[in-house]
Amino acid sequence: MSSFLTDGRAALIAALRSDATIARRVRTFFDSGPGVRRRRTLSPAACPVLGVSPAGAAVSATANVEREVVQTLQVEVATDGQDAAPCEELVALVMARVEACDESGLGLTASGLADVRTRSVTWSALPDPGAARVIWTAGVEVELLWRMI
Amino acid sequence: MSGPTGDWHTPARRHLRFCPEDEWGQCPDEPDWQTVPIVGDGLRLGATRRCFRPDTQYGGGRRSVHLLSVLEAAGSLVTRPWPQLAALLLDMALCRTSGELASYCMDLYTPSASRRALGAVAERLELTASGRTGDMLLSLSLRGRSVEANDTLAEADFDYSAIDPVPFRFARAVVQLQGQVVTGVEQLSIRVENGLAAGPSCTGLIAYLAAGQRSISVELRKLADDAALHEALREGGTLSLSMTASHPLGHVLSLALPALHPTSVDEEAEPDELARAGVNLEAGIDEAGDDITYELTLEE
Repeated sequence: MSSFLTDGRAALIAALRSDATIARRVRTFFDSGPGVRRRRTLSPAACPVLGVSPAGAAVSATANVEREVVQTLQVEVATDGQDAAPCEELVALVMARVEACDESGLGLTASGLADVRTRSVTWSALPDPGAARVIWTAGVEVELLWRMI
Repeated sequence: MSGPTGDWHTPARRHLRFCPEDEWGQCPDEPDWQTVPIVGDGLRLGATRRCFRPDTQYGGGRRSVHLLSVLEAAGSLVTRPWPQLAALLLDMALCRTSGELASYCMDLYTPSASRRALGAVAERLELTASGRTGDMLLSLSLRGRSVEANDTLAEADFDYSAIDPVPFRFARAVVQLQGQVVTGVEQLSIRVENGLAAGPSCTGLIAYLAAGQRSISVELRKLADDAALHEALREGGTLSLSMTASHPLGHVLSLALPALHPTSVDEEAEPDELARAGVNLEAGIDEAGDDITYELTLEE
Protein backbone atom coordinates (compact mmCIF):
# COMPACT_ATOMS: atom_id res chain seq x y z
CA MET A 1 0.00 0.00 0.00
CA SER A 2 1.47 3.33 -1.03
CA SER A 3 1.45 6.44 1.11
CA PHE A 4 -0.37 9.61 0.17
CA LEU A 5 3.02 11.21 -0.48
CA THR A 6 3.88 8.58 -3.07
CA ASP A 7 0.38 8.82 -4.55
CA GLY A 8 0.79 12.57 -4.91
CA ARG A 9 4.17 12.33 -6.60
CA ALA A 10 3.03 9.52 -8.90
CA ALA A 11 -0.10 11.47 -9.87
CA LEU A 12 1.92 14.58 -10.72
CA ILE A 13 4.35 12.54 -12.82
CA ALA A 14 1.44 10.88 -14.62
CA ALA A 15 -0.15 14.28 -15.27
CA LEU A 16 3.08 15.70 -16.70
CA ARG A 17 3.70 12.59 -18.82
CA SER A 18 0.15 12.63 -20.16
CA ASP A 19 0.51 16.17 -21.48
CA ALA A 20 1.12 15.68 -25.19
CA THR A 21 3.05 18.92 -25.63
CA ILE A 22 5.39 18.21 -22.74
CA ALA A 23 5.84 14.58 -23.82
CA ARG A 24 6.74 15.71 -27.35
CA ARG A 25 9.44 18.06 -26.10
CA VAL A 26 11.04 15.88 -23.40
CA ARG A 27 13.57 13.25 -24.38
CA THR A 28 14.30 11.83 -20.91
CA PHE A 29 12.00 11.48 -17.91
CA PHE A 30 13.41 10.84 -14.43
CA ASP A 31 10.60 9.82 -12.13
CA SER A 32 12.42 8.47 -9.04
CA GLY A 33 10.31 5.33 -9.46
CA PRO A 34 11.07 1.63 -8.88
CA GLY A 35 13.01 -0.67 -11.21
CA VAL A 36 16.55 -0.78 -12.49
CA ARG A 37 18.62 2.03 -11.09
CA ARG A 38 19.23 4.74 -13.61
CA ARG A 39 21.92 7.26 -12.98
CA ARG A 40 20.55 10.72 -12.98
CA THR A 41 23.21 12.33 -15.08
CA LEU A 42 22.72 15.51 -16.99
CA SER A 43 24.31 15.10 -20.38
CA PRO A 44 23.56 17.09 -23.52
CA ALA A 45 22.45 13.87 -25.21
CA ALA A 46 19.73 13.27 -22.57
CA CYS A 47 18.24 16.76 -22.93
CA PRO A 48 15.56 17.97 -22.77
CA VAL A 49 15.16 16.33 -19.37
CA LEU A 50 12.25 16.43 -16.97
CA GLY A 51 12.48 14.87 -13.52
CA VAL A 52 10.25 14.81 -10.47
CA SER A 53 11.64 14.12 -7.02
CA PRO A 54 10.50 14.56 -3.41
CA ALA A 55 11.82 17.79 -1.90
CA GLY A 56 10.16 18.16 1.47
CA ALA A 57 7.04 18.15 3.59
CA ALA A 58 5.73 20.38 6.35
CA VAL A 59 3.00 19.41 8.77
CA SER A 60 0.83 21.70 10.85
CA ALA A 61 -2.22 21.13 12.99
CA THR A 62 -5.04 23.34 11.73
CA ALA A 63 -7.97 21.88 13.63
CA ASN A 64 -8.45 19.45 16.47
CA VAL A 65 -8.57 16.52 14.05
CA GLU A 66 -7.21 18.13 10.89
CA ARG A 67 -3.59 18.15 9.80
CA GLU A 68 -2.34 20.20 6.90
CA VAL A 69 0.54 18.59 5.07
CA VAL A 70 2.39 20.63 2.47
CA GLN A 71 4.26 18.20 0.23
CA THR A 72 6.94 19.80 -1.89
CA LEU A 73 8.02 18.19 -5.13
CA GLN A 74 10.90 19.39 -7.25
CA VAL A 75 10.24 19.30 -10.98
CA GLU A 76 13.59 19.64 -12.67
CA VAL A 77 13.85 20.74 -16.26
CA ALA A 78 17.06 20.81 -18.28
CA THR A 79 17.73 21.85 -21.87
CA ASP A 80 20.96 21.84 -23.80
CA GLY A 81 22.48 25.00 -25.26
CA GLN A 82 23.02 28.64 -24.35
CA ASP A 83 19.52 29.65 -25.46
CA ALA A 84 17.39 29.71 -22.30
CA ALA A 85 14.13 29.97 -24.23
CA PRO A 86 13.52 26.19 -24.66
CA CYS A 87 13.98 25.76 -20.90
CA GLU A 88 11.62 28.65 -20.18
CA GLU A 89 9.05 27.25 -22.59
CA LEU A 90 9.18 23.85 -20.91
CA VAL A 91 8.86 25.45 -17.47
CA ALA A 92 5.84 27.45 -18.69
CA LEU A 93 4.25 24.22 -19.91
CA VAL A 94 4.91 22.56 -16.55
CA MET A 95 3.37 25.52 -14.72
CA ALA A 96 0.28 25.44 -16.93
CA ARG A 97 -0.05 21.71 -16.38
CA VAL A 98 0.25 22.15 -12.61
CA GLU A 99 -2.50 24.75 -12.73
CA ALA A 100 -4.70 22.31 -14.64
CA CYS A 101 -3.89 19.66 -12.03
CA ASP A 102 -5.29 21.97 -9.37
CA GLU A 103 -8.63 22.00 -11.19
CA SER A 104 -8.81 18.22 -11.24
CA GLY A 105 -7.25 17.71 -7.82
CA LEU A 106 -5.12 15.04 -9.50
CA GLY A 107 -7.96 12.64 -8.75
CA LEU A 108 -6.88 12.59 -5.10
CA THR A 109 -9.42 14.92 -3.50
CA ALA A 110 -11.11 12.04 -1.68
CA SER A 111 -7.73 11.29 -0.08
CA GLY A 112 -7.42 14.91 1.06
CA LEU A 113 -5.55 16.70 -1.73
CA ALA A 114 -6.90 20.26 -1.56
CA ASP A 115 -4.54 22.33 -3.66
CA VAL A 116 -1.77 21.96 -6.24
CA ARG A 117 0.34 25.03 -6.97
CA THR A 118 3.69 26.19 -8.29
CA ARG A 119 5.60 27.85 -5.47
CA SER A 120 8.76 29.04 -7.18
CA VAL A 121 11.14 28.52 -10.09
CA THR A 122 14.90 28.87 -10.01
CA TRP A 123 17.21 28.78 -13.01
CA SER A 124 20.87 28.05 -13.32
CA ALA A 125 23.32 27.30 -16.10
CA LEU A 126 25.56 24.24 -15.76
CA PRO A 127 28.42 23.76 -15.30
CA ASP A 128 28.59 27.54 -15.00
CA PRO A 129 27.24 30.49 -16.99
CA GLY A 130 30.67 31.16 -18.51
CA ALA A 131 31.30 27.63 -19.73
CA ALA A 132 31.86 26.89 -23.41
CA ARG A 133 28.70 24.84 -23.54
CA VAL A 134 25.95 25.16 -21.00
CA ILE A 135 22.86 23.24 -19.97
CA TRP A 136 20.06 25.39 -18.64
CA THR A 137 18.36 23.83 -15.64
CA ALA A 138 15.23 24.98 -13.86
CA GLY A 139 13.86 23.77 -10.56
CA VAL A 140 10.09 24.17 -10.35
CA GLU A 141 8.92 23.83 -6.78
CA VAL A 142 5.42 22.36 -6.76
CA GLU A 143 3.39 22.19 -3.57
CA LEU A 144 0.64 19.70 -2.90
CA LEU A 145 -1.57 20.78 -0.02
CA TRP A 146 -3.12 17.85 1.80
CA ARG A 147 -5.90 18.13 4.35
CA MET A 148 -6.10 15.05 6.52
CA ILE A 149 -8.90 14.34 8.98
CA MET B 1 7.01 12.86 37.66
CA SER B 2 8.12 16.27 36.53
CA GLY B 3 5.13 17.03 34.30
CA PRO B 4 1.91 18.79 35.22
CA THR B 5 -0.68 16.90 37.17
CA GLY B 6 -4.35 16.48 36.31
CA ASP B 7 -6.00 15.85 32.94
CA TRP B 8 -3.86 18.14 30.85
CA HIS B 9 -4.31 17.63 27.15
CA THR B 10 -3.70 18.95 23.67
CA PRO B 11 -6.43 20.36 21.38
CA ALA B 12 -6.40 17.14 19.38
CA ARG B 13 -8.23 15.55 22.29
CA ARG B 14 -11.08 18.06 22.33
CA HIS B 15 -14.15 17.13 20.32
CA LEU B 16 -17.54 18.57 19.53
CA ARG B 17 -20.74 17.00 18.34
CA PHE B 18 -24.22 18.36 18.16
CA CYS B 19 -27.76 17.45 17.20
CA PRO B 20 -30.96 19.39 16.66
CA GLU B 21 -33.40 19.47 19.54
CA ASP B 22 -37.11 18.79 19.22
CA GLU B 23 -37.82 20.78 22.33
CA TRP B 24 -35.73 23.73 23.43
CA GLY B 25 -33.19 22.75 26.07
CA GLN B 26 -33.94 19.01 25.87
CA CYS B 27 -31.61 16.46 24.30
CA PRO B 28 -33.69 14.16 22.06
CA ASP B 29 -34.16 10.55 23.12
CA GLU B 30 -32.54 9.37 19.90
CA PRO B 31 -30.09 12.12 18.99
CA ASP B 32 -28.75 12.37 15.44
CA TRP B 33 -25.19 13.42 16.31
CA GLN B 34 -22.98 15.24 13.90
CA THR B 35 -19.32 15.56 14.81
CA VAL B 36 -17.76 18.90 13.85
CA PRO B 37 -14.01 19.59 13.57
CA ILE B 38 -12.83 22.64 15.50
CA VAL B 39 -10.50 24.92 13.56
CA GLY B 40 -7.65 26.44 15.54
CA ASP B 41 -8.58 27.57 19.02
CA GLY B 42 -12.11 27.82 17.71
CA LEU B 43 -14.37 26.50 20.43
CA ARG B 44 -15.30 28.53 23.45
CA LEU B 45 -18.46 27.04 24.84
CA GLY B 46 -19.34 27.03 28.48
CA ALA B 47 -21.47 28.44 31.22
CA THR B 48 -21.79 32.11 32.01
CA ARG B 49 -23.68 33.55 34.92
CA ARG B 50 -24.98 37.05 35.27
CA CYS B 51 -24.05 38.69 38.48
CA PHE B 52 -25.97 41.44 40.24
CA ARG B 53 -23.87 43.96 42.13
CA PRO B 54 -25.90 46.67 43.84
CA ASP B 55 -24.51 50.12 43.30
CA THR B 56 -24.23 50.98 46.97
CA GLN B 57 -21.47 51.37 49.43
CA TYR B 58 -23.14 48.83 51.68
CA GLY B 59 -20.46 46.92 53.52
CA GLY B 60 -17.85 49.61 53.13
CA GLY B 61 -14.65 48.95 51.23
CA ARG B 62 -15.44 45.34 50.55
CA ARG B 63 -18.29 44.27 48.32
CA SER B 64 -20.45 42.17 50.56
CA VAL B 65 -23.52 41.93 48.34
CA HIS B 66 -22.97 39.86 45.26
CA LEU B 67 -25.97 38.07 43.82
CA LEU B 68 -25.49 35.39 41.21
CA SER B 69 -28.53 35.13 39.01
CA VAL B 70 -29.20 33.55 35.62
CA LEU B 71 -27.10 30.75 34.19
CA GLU B 72 -26.62 30.71 30.43
CA ALA B 73 -24.60 28.81 27.88
CA ALA B 74 -22.52 30.97 25.59
CA GLY B 75 -19.59 30.61 23.31
CA SER B 76 -18.28 30.46 19.80
CA LEU B 77 -17.30 27.89 17.24
CA VAL B 78 -14.97 28.21 14.26
CA THR B 79 -15.03 25.50 11.64
CA ARG B 80 -14.88 25.06 7.88
CA PRO B 81 -17.66 24.39 5.37
CA TRP B 82 -16.96 20.71 4.87
CA PRO B 83 -19.49 19.41 2.34
CA GLN B 84 -21.30 17.18 4.83
CA LEU B 85 -21.49 19.97 7.42
CA ALA B 86 -22.20 23.09 5.38
CA ALA B 87 -25.99 22.73 5.31
CA LEU B 88 -26.23 21.99 9.02
CA LEU B 89 -24.07 24.97 9.95
CA LEU B 90 -25.83 27.39 7.60
CA ASP B 91 -29.25 26.19 8.72
CA MET B 92 -28.33 26.91 12.32
CA ALA B 93 -28.26 30.62 11.54
CA LEU B 94 -30.43 30.97 8.44
CA CYS B 95 -33.30 28.52 8.74
CA ARG B 96 -36.33 29.63 10.69
CA THR B 97 -39.55 27.76 11.39
CA SER B 98 -42.44 30.01 12.36
CA GLY B 99 -39.91 32.77 12.90
CA GLU B 100 -37.80 30.76 15.33
CA LEU B 101 -34.33 29.30 14.93
CA ALA B 102 -33.64 25.66 15.63
CA SER B 103 -31.87 24.83 18.87
CA TYR B 104 -29.11 22.30 19.37
CA CYS B 105 -27.72 20.01 21.99
CA MET B 106 -23.92 20.22 21.97
CA ASP B 107 -21.49 17.81 23.56
CA LEU B 108 -17.97 19.03 24.15
CA TYR B 109 -15.48 16.37 25.14
CA THR B 110 -12.29 17.31 26.90
CA PRO B 111 -10.28 14.95 29.06
CA SER B 112 -10.62 17.40 31.94
CA ALA B 113 -14.18 18.79 31.83
CA SER B 114 -16.62 17.22 29.37
CA ARG B 115 -19.90 19.06 29.21
CA ARG B 116 -23.21 19.34 27.42
CA ALA B 117 -24.77 22.63 26.33
CA LEU B 118 -28.52 22.54 25.86
CA GLY B 119 -30.75 24.81 23.87
CA ALA B 120 -27.89 26.34 21.87
CA VAL B 121 -29.02 28.84 19.24
CA ALA B 122 -26.94 30.71 16.66
CA GLU B 123 -26.77 34.36 17.62
CA ARG B 124 -24.41 35.22 14.79
CA LEU B 125 -22.87 33.50 11.79
CA GLU B 126 -19.94 34.85 9.85
CA LEU B 127 -18.64 33.31 6.67
CA THR B 128 -15.18 34.57 5.85
CA ALA B 129 -13.56 33.82 2.54
CA SER B 130 -9.96 34.79 1.98
CA GLY B 131 -8.38 35.09 -1.42
CA ARG B 132 -4.94 35.02 0.16
CA THR B 133 -5.30 31.58 1.76
CA GLY B 134 -8.04 30.34 -0.57
CA ASP B 135 -9.96 29.07 2.44
CA MET B 136 -13.37 29.71 3.93
CA LEU B 137 -14.23 29.75 7.62
CA LEU B 138 -17.57 29.59 9.36
CA SER B 139 -17.72 31.28 12.74
CA LEU B 140 -20.76 30.88 14.95
CA SER B 141 -21.59 32.79 18.06
CA LEU B 142 -23.88 30.72 20.26
CA ARG B 143 -26.15 31.23 23.21
CA GLY B 144 -27.95 28.46 25.02
CA ARG B 145 -30.14 27.59 27.94
CA SER B 146 -27.84 25.64 30.20
CA VAL B 147 -24.61 23.71 30.55
CA GLU B 148 -24.20 20.55 32.53
CA ALA B 149 -21.35 18.12 33.13
CA ASN B 150 -21.36 15.10 30.87
CA ASP B 151 -19.02 12.47 32.22
CA THR B 152 -20.46 9.75 30.00
CA LEU B 153 -18.63 11.11 26.93
CA ALA B 154 -15.62 9.29 25.54
CA GLU B 155 -13.30 10.10 22.64
CA ALA B 156 -14.63 7.05 20.81
CA ASP B 157 -18.04 8.78 20.58
CA PHE B 158 -16.67 11.18 17.98
CA ASP B 159 -16.54 9.85 14.46
CA TYR B 160 -15.24 12.00 11.60
CA SER B 161 -15.26 9.29 8.92
CA ALA B 162 -18.33 10.64 7.11
CA ILE B 163 -16.68 14.00 6.38
CA ASP B 164 -14.76 14.53 3.13
CA PRO B 165 -11.28 15.74 4.12
CA VAL B 166 -11.34 18.68 1.69
CA PRO B 167 -13.79 21.48 2.57
CA PHE B 168 -15.33 23.98 0.17
CA ARG B 169 -12.61 26.48 -0.67
CA PHE B 170 -12.71 30.08 -1.82
CA ALA B 171 -9.94 29.22 -4.27
CA ARG B 172 -12.58 27.34 -6.27
CA ALA B 173 -15.36 29.89 -5.85
CA VAL B 174 -16.81 32.35 -8.32
CA VAL B 175 -18.17 35.65 -7.01
CA GLN B 176 -20.73 37.51 -9.08
CA LEU B 177 -21.96 41.05 -8.60
CA GLN B 178 -25.06 41.97 -10.60
CA GLY B 179 -24.58 38.77 -12.56
CA GLN B 180 -21.03 39.71 -13.61
CA VAL B 181 -18.07 37.67 -12.46
CA VAL B 182 -15.86 39.72 -10.14
CA THR B 183 -12.16 39.03 -10.30
CA GLY B 184 -9.62 40.20 -7.78
CA VAL B 185 -11.71 39.52 -4.68
CA GLU B 186 -9.33 39.38 -1.74
CA GLN B 187 -11.78 39.05 1.09
CA LEU B 188 -15.48 38.41 1.40
CA SER B 189 -17.30 38.33 4.71
CA ILE B 190 -20.99 37.66 5.14
CA ARG B 191 -22.29 38.30 8.62
CA VAL B 192 -25.73 37.30 9.84
CA GLU B 193 -26.97 38.69 13.17
CA ASN B 194 -30.07 37.01 14.49
CA GLY B 195 -30.87 39.58 17.18
CA LEU B 196 -31.52 37.05 19.94
CA ALA B 197 -33.47 38.23 22.95
CA ALA B 198 -33.07 36.27 26.15
CA GLY B 199 -35.98 35.89 28.52
CA PRO B 200 -35.91 36.61 32.24
CA SER B 201 -34.79 34.20 34.89
CA CYS B 202 -37.00 31.19 35.33
CA THR B 203 -35.77 28.90 38.10
CA GLY B 204 -32.24 30.13 37.57
CA LEU B 205 -32.21 29.65 33.79
CA ILE B 206 -33.31 31.96 31.00
CA ALA B 207 -36.96 31.50 30.14
CA TYR B 208 -36.53 31.73 26.37
CA LEU B 209 -34.24 32.76 23.54
CA ALA B 210 -36.28 34.50 20.90
CA ALA B 211 -34.90 35.22 17.44
CA GLY B 212 -35.35 38.84 16.44
CA GLN B 213 -35.12 40.63 13.14
CA ARG B 214 -31.99 39.49 11.44
CA SER B 215 -29.50 41.82 9.86
CA ILE B 216 -27.06 40.74 7.22
CA SER B 217 -23.98 42.70 6.30
CA VAL B 218 -21.35 42.01 3.69
CA GLU B 219 -17.79 43.23 3.43
CA LEU B 220 -16.08 42.84 0.10
CA ARG B 221 -12.47 43.77 -0.54
CA LYS B 222 -11.46 43.76 -4.15
CA LEU B 223 -9.34 45.54 -6.68
CA ALA B 224 -10.70 48.99 -7.45
CA ASP B 225 -11.32 48.19 -11.09
CA ASP B 226 -14.75 49.59 -11.95
CA ALA B 227 -17.32 52.23 -11.02
CA ALA B 228 -20.33 49.96 -10.48
CA LEU B 229 -20.17 50.06 -6.69
CA HIS B 230 -19.71 53.84 -6.60
CA GLU B 231 -22.67 54.30 -8.93
CA ALA B 232 -24.88 51.97 -6.90
CA LEU B 233 -23.92 53.84 -3.74
CA ARG B 234 -24.63 57.27 -5.26
CA GLU B 235 -27.92 56.21 -6.80
CA GLY B 236 -29.10 54.32 -3.72
CA GLY B 237 -29.79 51.22 -5.73
CA THR B 238 -29.39 47.58 -4.87
CA LEU B 239 -26.91 45.00 -6.08
CA SER B 240 -27.13 41.25 -6.16
CA LEU B 241 -24.17 39.19 -5.02
CA SER B 242 -23.62 35.48 -5.30
CA MET B 243 -20.82 33.07 -4.55
CA THR B 244 -20.64 29.60 -6.02
CA ALA B 245 -18.02 27.25 -4.63
CA SER B 246 -17.30 24.06 -6.54
CA HIS B 247 -15.75 21.04 -4.89
CA PRO B 248 -13.45 18.72 -6.84
CA LEU B 249 -15.71 15.80 -5.87
CA GLY B 250 -18.65 17.47 -7.60
CA HIS B 251 -20.37 19.14 -4.64
CA VAL B 252 -21.57 22.70 -5.19
CA LEU B 253 -22.40 25.37 -2.61
CA SER B 254 -24.13 28.55 -3.78
CA LEU B 255 -24.98 31.56 -1.66
CA ALA B 256 -27.01 34.45 -2.98
CA LEU B 257 -27.88 37.85 -1.57
CA PRO B 258 -30.32 39.29 -4.08
CA ALA B 259 -30.74 42.84 -2.77
CA LEU B 260 -27.72 44.47 -1.21
CA HIS B 261 -27.54 48.18 -0.41
CA PRO B 262 -24.01 49.60 -0.59
CA THR B 263 -23.39 51.80 2.42
CA SER B 264 -19.79 52.81 1.91
CA VAL B 265 -16.87 52.29 -0.42
CA ASP B 266 -13.44 52.82 1.11
CA GLU B 267 -10.53 52.92 -1.26
CA GLU B 268 -6.92 52.12 -0.46
CA ALA B 269 -4.22 53.37 -2.76
CA GLU B 270 -0.78 52.73 -1.32
CA PRO B 271 1.94 54.10 -3.61
CA ASP B 272 3.49 50.71 -4.31
CA GLU B 273 0.34 48.59 -4.48
CA LEU B 274 -2.70 48.17 -6.68
CA ALA B 275 -5.65 50.30 -5.60
CA ARG B 276 -8.30 48.39 -3.72
CA ALA B 277 -11.90 49.01 -2.79
CA GLY B 278 -13.44 47.92 0.49
CA VAL B 279 -17.19 47.81 0.12
CA ASN B 280 -19.73 47.55 2.90
CA LEU B 281 -23.20 46.39 2.01
CA GLU B 282 -26.38 45.64 3.91
CA ALA B 283 -28.94 43.12 2.79
CA GLY B 284 -32.50 44.01 2.02
CA ILE B 285 -35.07 41.71 0.51
CA ASP B 286 -36.07 41.12 -3.10
CA GLU B 287 -39.60 40.72 -4.54
CA ALA B 288 -39.69 37.13 -3.30
CA GLY B 289 -38.91 38.28 0.24
CA ASP B 290 -35.43 36.73 0.30
CA ASP B 291 -32.46 38.40 1.94
CA ILE B 292 -30.10 35.45 1.70
CA THR B 293 -30.52 32.01 0.20
CA TYR B 294 -28.21 29.08 -0.21
CA GLU B 295 -28.22 25.87 -2.19
CA LEU B 296 -26.07 22.84 -1.58
CA THR B 297 -25.75 19.97 -3.99
CA LEU B 298 -23.91 16.93 -2.70
CA GLU B 299 -22.52 14.45 -5.19
CA GLU B 300 -23.12 10.89 -4.05
